[in-house]
Amino acid sequence: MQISIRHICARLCPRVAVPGRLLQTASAVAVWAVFLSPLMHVAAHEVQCHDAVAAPLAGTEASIAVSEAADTTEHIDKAEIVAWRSDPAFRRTDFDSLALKENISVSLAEMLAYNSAVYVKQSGRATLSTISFRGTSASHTQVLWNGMRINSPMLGMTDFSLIPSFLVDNASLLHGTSSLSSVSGGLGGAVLLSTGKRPDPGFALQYVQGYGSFVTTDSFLRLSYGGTRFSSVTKAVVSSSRNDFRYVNRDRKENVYDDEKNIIGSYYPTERNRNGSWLDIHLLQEFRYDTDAGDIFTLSAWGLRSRRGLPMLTVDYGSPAGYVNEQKEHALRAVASWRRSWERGTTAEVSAGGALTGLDYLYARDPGSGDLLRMTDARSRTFTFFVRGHYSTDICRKWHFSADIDAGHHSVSSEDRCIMTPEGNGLGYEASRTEVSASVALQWRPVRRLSASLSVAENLYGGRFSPPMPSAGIEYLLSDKGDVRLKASASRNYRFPTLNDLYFLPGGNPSLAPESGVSYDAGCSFDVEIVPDILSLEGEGSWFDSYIEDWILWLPEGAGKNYYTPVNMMKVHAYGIEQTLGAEWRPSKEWTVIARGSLTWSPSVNCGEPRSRWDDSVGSQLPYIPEFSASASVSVAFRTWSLLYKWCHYSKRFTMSGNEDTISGSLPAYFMSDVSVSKRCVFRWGEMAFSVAVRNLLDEEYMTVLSRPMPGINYEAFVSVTPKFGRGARR
Amino acid sequence: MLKSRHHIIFAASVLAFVSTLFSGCMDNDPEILPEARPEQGKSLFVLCEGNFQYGNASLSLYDTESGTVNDNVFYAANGQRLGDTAQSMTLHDGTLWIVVNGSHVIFAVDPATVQEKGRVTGESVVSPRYIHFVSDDKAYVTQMYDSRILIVDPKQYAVTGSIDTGMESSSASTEQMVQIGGYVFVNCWSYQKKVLKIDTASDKVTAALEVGVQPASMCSDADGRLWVLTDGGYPGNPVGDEPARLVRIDPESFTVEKEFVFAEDASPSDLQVSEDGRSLYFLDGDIWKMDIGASEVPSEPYIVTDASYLYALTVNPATGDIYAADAMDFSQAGVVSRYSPDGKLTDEFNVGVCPGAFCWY
Repeated sequence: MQISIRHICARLCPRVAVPGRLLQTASAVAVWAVFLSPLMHVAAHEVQCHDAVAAPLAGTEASIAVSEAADTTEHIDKAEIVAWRSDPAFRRTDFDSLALKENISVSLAEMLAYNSAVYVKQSGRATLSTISFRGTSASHTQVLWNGMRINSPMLGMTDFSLIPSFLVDNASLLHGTSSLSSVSGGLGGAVLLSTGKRPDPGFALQYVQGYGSFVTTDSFLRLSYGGTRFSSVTKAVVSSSRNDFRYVNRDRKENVYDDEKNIIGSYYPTERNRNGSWLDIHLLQEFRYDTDAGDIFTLSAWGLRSRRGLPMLTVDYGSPAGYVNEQKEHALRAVASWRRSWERGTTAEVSAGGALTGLDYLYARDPGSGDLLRMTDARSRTFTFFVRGHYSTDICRKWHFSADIDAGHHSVSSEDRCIMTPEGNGLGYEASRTEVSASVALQWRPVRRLSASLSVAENLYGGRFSPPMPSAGIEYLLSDKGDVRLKASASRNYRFPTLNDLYFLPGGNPSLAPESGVSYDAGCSFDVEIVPDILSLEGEGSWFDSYIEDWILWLPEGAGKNYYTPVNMMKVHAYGIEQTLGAEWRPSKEWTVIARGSLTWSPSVNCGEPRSRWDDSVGSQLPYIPEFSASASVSVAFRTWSLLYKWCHYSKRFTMSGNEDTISGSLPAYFMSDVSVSKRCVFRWGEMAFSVAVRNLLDEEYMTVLSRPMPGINYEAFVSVTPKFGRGARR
Repeated sequence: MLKSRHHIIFAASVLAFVSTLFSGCMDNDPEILPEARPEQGKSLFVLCEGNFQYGNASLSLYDTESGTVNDNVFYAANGQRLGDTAQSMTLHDGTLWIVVNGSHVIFAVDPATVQEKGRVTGESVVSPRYIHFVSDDKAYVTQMYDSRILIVDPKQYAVTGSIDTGMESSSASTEQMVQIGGYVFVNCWSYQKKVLKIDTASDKVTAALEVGVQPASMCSDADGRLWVLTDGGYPGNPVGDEPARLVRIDPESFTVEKEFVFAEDASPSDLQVSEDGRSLYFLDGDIWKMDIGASEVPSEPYIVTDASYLYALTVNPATGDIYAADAMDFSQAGVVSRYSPDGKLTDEFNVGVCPGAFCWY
């Protein structure tokens, strides 16, 4: 049997990234692959095992032995794989390291906006960027980094703009019901991020420098050493920008006065984005040790420092001079893990880690005295510790069992130092919570074409048990030709209130109930090579339907709305369709054309009880959730040149719960286009690559959030240097 | 030959994309709304706060005779948004002054056309809340966070000075103003307990009186006495958490004459006075009315409503009709209900988001 790595991986997990296979993003082998060509074999290198024959593997860690040679994208001759696919029947989207670095300067938020069916809400680069699945909110998206939950225990959400895609080796989106296989609380879904890939043998270095519009600089450094057993990867990212782009402010006018202060004219001013500068520094260090027996030990540590100005609103008449509105975040996250696979599909994994996060927010103005008047000086410190264990094994040929346990503890201290208590502390709270989650799952494969799974999870949050969270799925391989699969799944999920929901001062509500959700999902996927090695096509479509009850909303409380408090208010019905389609065409050895698109229709409707007969929110689409979204990308690669065009669209987003069609009740639909061109040059001493990226190609004026302008057309040029060391240099 | 053909194809691809640079497809022209023409004597302006940091404040206009409503009349007349978190309105000498807290601006508007006449801005306008006219040439502007009350020359739209309140910055708060004789009384709301007495001749604070935790609104009655309603704070409030109070103050002696303490679970707000100055109105889930000579706060509401969250109240000085604004969930169009003086519902209409203040014209 002739089989290649890409075939094997396609069977194991259709979207495991392998060179030569249609990758999740069309751009993966295009523009930025030029920059990352030294990394291209990393994905393949990761595919490893001890014996190419009958290697029983589990989940996405499926591995097949390949040569230690650097260029491991070649087909291997023979292999037979007997393995359980991870989470059959559940919708999952995987992004490999190449897809993640399609544009090296983008954050994970920007990458997902163009390459997935999730909704990314952001108001520009280096601003709070959140991701929501299938009509749910950002806090319904759980995010794991190397197994550690990195959602803020205070806010419940994750700022994806603080996750450079350069730092992530693999990312997976678990849509709807599928999130329960990895983490509870993801009523919309979950994002799994991982690092720790084994680098190439020997020393390697890559440095990328980018300069762009608005005095933007991006620097990326990757140092790696791959030994027989020990390997190390160091990554650093430094990004800064003045971010003072020009825009026409159509929300306010400048007046022209005569000598007696009468208005004799007015106009929409052309302004610069005010107070939007940023400086982000990330450092990631990873060590990995592989034993002959198959143990894998990894240690990953990620430190970040970020200082970001929060741009002034378009309707702010205050002076930007003497104005401070900035957020500083400092975080250190570390995870150590051990993993081992045995025969008969047995895998065990233990990981533990912690995170220290400091978040400072300062809002101050100079009232003309020369001294800053602090209006908000909020500081929070969060410490998280977690330990996680996983075990899975084949009970027999037809049954596979897995169990997971996850325990974490969060401690939070939050205060506003502008409001001092009699004890001399800032107004705030200190709280901690222990969270334990356990789950067991069974997979059953009575015949080759049919597999089914059943799992049950249980959570303990600060002394409160959740009801059991069951999940079930079934998958049927309709046709080998084209790998046509039918899938269906259902689950119940719970999300517990955040620590701010419970304890924030003022307004925290300790009696909040957890949000609960029931989700159903059904769909079909295919993956077909129409002309072997020349033209392939893949796609997946899903229908989903979910009800979320006790949705937590912060509403005003107290006389005269003097503070907000969270309440279990809404019942939401989110349903719709997600569709992805991709094609890869290689007309010759020199040409590669990859196209990919996604389309999502996701009504997300408040179906709770009306507050009064005037309540227009019932039956209306939730604010800032587009009913339609779409993305597409086309990459054309020719020899050492490549071109990538990306496009995304969001339909009109209502800003108000009642869906009022007023001047500020909605944001117009927008279409966004980016394009980039790259050229790779190979020298005896190494490689260089040059690239130019153009964002907002059509120079659209648009907003993604009310009163927050977005930049028009802007550019960034990159130079990448990858010297060769050792044998590579001599070759 | 083959090589050059490849280059041509690639170059054509690049050109195809570059050519799109010259065309956009989104329509960004400002929306044109019909302009309203308020008629004096039968117009009610409803100021809708909008949501903090959304920039969606708006001004609605209600014709008390025809019952017609126009929303976003400021935008319609001026082609610009009202701003972020509009706080209050004051009509003085033929000009409507709108204080937009989050935008750090005070607009002067011609109420007959709703067109802007001028604006007060500047670095000292830190967090404006209310404007009160001492004379045609001088106005006071209260602020949060800043311990100063600004002095404004309304003819020049300029800040000309300030009154130091002695409060600690950051937690300072001055709010509504009521003038009785030559003195302006100011309640200090957020994280404060006091009412200040300001001499309008010297522009100085001459006295301060503690009235309870967080005095939120004020009015004066027909007898020239000052009434102050506190909200009592909240659990964990560093300046205290107590039942709300209604306090009657003798403005001359600047002492508390009488104090009414509400039930623990009461949340009264938006103290207003009737057109004859003999009755007080306030909100607490429903609409409450109290005679200024009453010996205790009423036990039953004057008007029972089915509102979600009553947020603003006014009484028509000409007719005595009562108007109450329901902010719903603070994230959709608010609703204003109109009642006759004897409490009968006579009209209801939608306005903008978070209707928080009224002004009669």
